[in-house]
Amino acid sequence: MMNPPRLLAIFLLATGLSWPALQARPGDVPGKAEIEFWTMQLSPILDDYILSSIAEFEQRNPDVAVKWVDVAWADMERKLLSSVAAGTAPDVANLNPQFSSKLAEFNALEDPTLFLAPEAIAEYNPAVWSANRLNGKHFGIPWYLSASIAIYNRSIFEQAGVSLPDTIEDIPRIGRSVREATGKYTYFPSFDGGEPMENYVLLGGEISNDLPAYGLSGASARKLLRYYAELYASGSIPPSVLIEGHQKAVDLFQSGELAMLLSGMQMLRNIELNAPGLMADIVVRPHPNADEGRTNIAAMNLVVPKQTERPAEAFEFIVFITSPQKQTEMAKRVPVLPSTPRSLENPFFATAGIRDHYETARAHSISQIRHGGVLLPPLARYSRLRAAFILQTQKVMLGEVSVEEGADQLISDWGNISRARHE
Amino acid sequence: MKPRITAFAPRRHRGSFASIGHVLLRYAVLIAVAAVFIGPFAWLLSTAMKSGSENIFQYPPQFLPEQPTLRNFGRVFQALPFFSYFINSVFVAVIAVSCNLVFCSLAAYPLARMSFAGKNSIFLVLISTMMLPFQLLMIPLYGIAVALGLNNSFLGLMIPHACTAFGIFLMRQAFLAIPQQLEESARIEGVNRFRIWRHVMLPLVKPALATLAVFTFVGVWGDFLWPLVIMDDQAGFTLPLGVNKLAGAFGKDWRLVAAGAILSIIPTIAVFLFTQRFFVSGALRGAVKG
Repeated sequence: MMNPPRLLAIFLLATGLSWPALQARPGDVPGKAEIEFWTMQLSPILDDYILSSIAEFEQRNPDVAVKWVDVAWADMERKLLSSVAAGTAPDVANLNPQFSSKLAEFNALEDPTLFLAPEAIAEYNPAVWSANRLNGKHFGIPWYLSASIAIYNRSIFEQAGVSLPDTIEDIPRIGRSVREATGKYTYFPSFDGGEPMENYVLLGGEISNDLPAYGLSGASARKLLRYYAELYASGSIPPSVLIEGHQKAVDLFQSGELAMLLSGMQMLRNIELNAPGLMADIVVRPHPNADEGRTNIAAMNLVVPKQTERPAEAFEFIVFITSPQKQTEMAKRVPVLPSTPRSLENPFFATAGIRDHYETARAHSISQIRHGGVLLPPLARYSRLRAAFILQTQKVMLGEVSVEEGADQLISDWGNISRARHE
Repeated sequence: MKPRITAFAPRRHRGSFASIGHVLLRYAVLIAVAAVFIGPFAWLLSTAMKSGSENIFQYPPQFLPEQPTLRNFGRVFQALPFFSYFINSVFVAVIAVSCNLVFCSLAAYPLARMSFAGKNSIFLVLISTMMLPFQLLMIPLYGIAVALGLNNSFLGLMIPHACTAFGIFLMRQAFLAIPQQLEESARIEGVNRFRIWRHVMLPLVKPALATLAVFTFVGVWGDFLWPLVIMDDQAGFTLPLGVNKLAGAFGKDWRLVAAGAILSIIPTIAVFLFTQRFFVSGALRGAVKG
């Protein structure tokens, strides 16, 4: 073993020599107002696009410098909460609506209507823009969008001799036949996001922040719980839905053990990468409930935390990066859709002459975005509401409580949560 | 004499059968346990070696690749500045391990071999901190790092690993196992405490130092949460953060993710193999002497 003093000396020397490397990298650019822009896992695929957009913005605004930080999708909440706690929140952050609304609940986000001109606001999809509102205040600007389309494994349906579902209410009946004929499952309604509550709305229910018990009604709750119980009892869905999330649905579909997947169009790329042989068997259709105009639009937001010292520059940058032209450029590179309807006038989004699954998926997604809405609005105390909803749904599926008992308990739980927020 | 030999012969035969059976059973259990531990790694390797035309999620699963390829490992280097992340990880790990060995053994020595007021209380407080999960400490620690201007720096990244309660505990146990007479002889010769630590104690706790080095290296090398919080610039990313980027938001190629994961754990295996002979005896020493 090396002599300890020598080891210590080498260590001190190494530390001394590497001191410049150990130090924090340069922060503010002298003479410029720096804004920090956090995105969710857009690197490396969008490196060129983001960096060139930043360069373009900086050229137009010579007094502003933009620092881009890309954060892993699953870890954005932890990193952002740490930075907010330490007072180093970014100036612009790319967040999903549910986490944005959680921050908005604590009044931690700037209201964009105070900074944007009405004509700038008018550029955004009105259904998505109005969904970014909680307690009478707007909290975010919609960036890129995605719609839930249906991807079917045609050979499973053919093997079972059944047709594709017209609405999600057909799934228990079709799923029973698929299970009996092929031993495979049809659907995987995951519990790790807002899907059960979105299905509640798809089945005719209404959820609203402004109503007692968030608008949950006994009849609609019973319908939803009965639907999930039927799905489970008919063998349409695997038992693992109770413990695993949407990733499991994707894995099962890719393994050829699941007949349909309700997901965004970006899922096609995953299938092509990991299960290339499956591409020949798949059929891409609109969401089963698309004809009724009740389909969900998933939006990614850009928000400005109140800790920022440069809200005006931050919103100026957001308006630039979410402009119709920039969003069209982005949609040409990755499978997302713009939140600015004017972008859709670009020939790139034309639906004529569709050639492959990707273009089919984009055409259906565009149609759904034009006619759909955000089914689940931002809800105060969302985590508690979601937990109560999932608990009762799972209890009914497992037969621990009846549909009626589950619905009564659910309404009671949501009523209590609703009342508690006003106290 | 002959009957005695015949009388013993069958018994010896039975004994050797029993012994062979015992050995077989022992090996069967060991192979089963090894398979449980090696299984996930082997599966990762299999995924990394599957060609682009194979279905990763095939059911029933297929362990052996149909067309084995090493191409995915090369693609990792094309997809990411892997070498740069690797250098960052090595740099952080080497300095964090060095600091941990020096500071923990320095802190452990008085706790093991000196008498002073509050010694046991200090040790108890140190041990208590091991019960706090890092998630609980993360935000205050980040606040301190920001206040010291260490966010987004390698120094901030390595500081939580530079001296750990576990390391102090391990080294204290190792120092306690050294006979008092050795230290007393040195003191009679007029050697001061620091030189005793340097020349008498440290050479005798090499196995514990190796154990601590391995534990610290594994901890620093695989750390994801702290680098995620403290590091903003991609140029400063360590391997776990870098490899995570392979799971893109618009298409996740599991072959690439598996290949990246395999490449990133090779140094950990190398360090363990290199220090294995010290590691086992060091771990046992820490476990039995208190």
